[in-house]
Amino acid sequence: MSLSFEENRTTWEIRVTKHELIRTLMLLNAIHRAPDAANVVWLTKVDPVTRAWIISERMVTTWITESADYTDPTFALPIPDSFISSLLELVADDDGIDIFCNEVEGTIIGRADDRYVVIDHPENVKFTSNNLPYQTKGSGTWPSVAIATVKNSDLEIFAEVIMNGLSFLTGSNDVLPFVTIDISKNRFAWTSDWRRFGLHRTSGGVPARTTGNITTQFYPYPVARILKMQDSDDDANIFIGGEEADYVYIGGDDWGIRVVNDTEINARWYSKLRRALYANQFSPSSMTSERMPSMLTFEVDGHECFASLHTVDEDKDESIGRLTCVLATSIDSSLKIYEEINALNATLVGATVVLRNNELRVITDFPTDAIDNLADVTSHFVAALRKCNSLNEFLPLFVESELGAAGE
Amino acid sequence: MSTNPSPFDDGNQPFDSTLTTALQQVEKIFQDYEPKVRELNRKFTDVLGRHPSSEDGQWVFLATNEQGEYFFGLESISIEHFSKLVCVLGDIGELLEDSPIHSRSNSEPLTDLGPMIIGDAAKLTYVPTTHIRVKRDQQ
Repeated sequence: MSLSFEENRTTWEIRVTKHELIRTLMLLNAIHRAPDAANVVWLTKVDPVTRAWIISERMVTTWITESADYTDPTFALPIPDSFISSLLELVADDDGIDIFCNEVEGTIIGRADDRYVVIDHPENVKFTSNNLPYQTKGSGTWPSVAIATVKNSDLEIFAEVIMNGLSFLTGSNDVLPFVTIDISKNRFAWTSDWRRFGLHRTSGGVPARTTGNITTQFYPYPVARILKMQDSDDDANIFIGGEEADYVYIGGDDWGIRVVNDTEINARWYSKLRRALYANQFSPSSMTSERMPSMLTFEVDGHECFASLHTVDEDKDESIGRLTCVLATSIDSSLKIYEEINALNATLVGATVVLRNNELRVITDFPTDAIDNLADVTSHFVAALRKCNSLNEFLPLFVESELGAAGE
Repeated sequence: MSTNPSPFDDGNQPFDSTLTTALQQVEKIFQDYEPKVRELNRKFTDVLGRHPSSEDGQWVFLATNEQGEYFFGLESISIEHFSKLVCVLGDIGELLEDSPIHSRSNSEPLTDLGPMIIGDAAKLTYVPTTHIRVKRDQQ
């Protein structure tokens, strides 16, 4: 690495202030991610006179915005996490420092007067649409938008209560409790359920200016740490596009957080359910967004089947997984139909045929605790499904059934 | 030599037809295209001010291609003026959004509140180019 810092440098340079470096470092500390060469902070412009420092980590993307010079470049510069504190060390006064690159050395350079710090330019990193702070897809265009404007000082209460639970936790690898938030008229409220960890449920509520109503969940801990670093005198907006929206947004004038709008039950069991299906020779559908879908689809003998997760009893932490196949649709309930279903169920093992919402379904339920060993469960489900393939022989009323159509 | 009669019906020998075509083109340029160029330049200057690097401050010029077809050309912008132009266009865009013509009517549902809630960061609606590591041999 050459120590001639000004040779072969880029013609562009970006002057950044001590204040924004401090804020960016605080974001990094809040995100609290493990050291990795691929972990970078993205520095880019959001408009001709505004820049953003963006950090994405698993379920959270967070950012701050600051004034930019109109001559600043418009590309996204990846700055290694560890370099932010080095740049901060370099800042002696409020004049800030210049950031530029050396295109012979392949380095990023920070300069304050005649003092320099240098780091290798990251390789194999790319700014993608997932790094964009605001995701229009599935977020803002929902009919049931809910917004709460809350004082930052009140969000600090929310953050402190959330983090307080962690301080009583002794070593556990289980998924930490998600927070359930509720936006209702003039109130923002929340609940965390720590009973899985031998602790209590905790709730709270603060005044808010609200539009719409919603109850939803997200993973709160990075969010809480970021909320604690905001100026207490300002307000923040909490924005959710709808119950099925991909993200929850929390933001002020010059900062923001985007966190995946997802449930604790999904976080605890979804990946395990996918792995279990793969292990039993099925090919479950892949995820198309960061938010986990409400069900996985897979095929058995050409029939589309579904795997889903359901909470049975929150107080007892009971949840089940369910495998489902829709055998026939447009089935009206009648005594004759139920007699036929009962007769069919008497022949099935480990699966049940039910009539719900005018659909004839074969289902197999299993406790989520048993999700790592689904061999028996899936074999019962497949056997039941194959047995039902001849359904139209002894349920002649199903002439319009999907199975009847499939057999033609 | 063309056998066409004189266009002035004065009994003189008729013009060379190629000369007639050239005269028609000149007439077309001055009577039709040039006013359009001036009109375009007025509009550009009203919105963007003088062109930052063209000699006469004009944005539009008249030119011909290899096939002899006329077209309106735009003066090039130097790299150093690129950001300034983007800045001005951004300001104009914001003014347009606030104008009564472009604002939503009351009957239209306001569905995407995100940009209003999230602030400036929501303006980043495109994926910017990633600055990649360049490591080349020293000259």
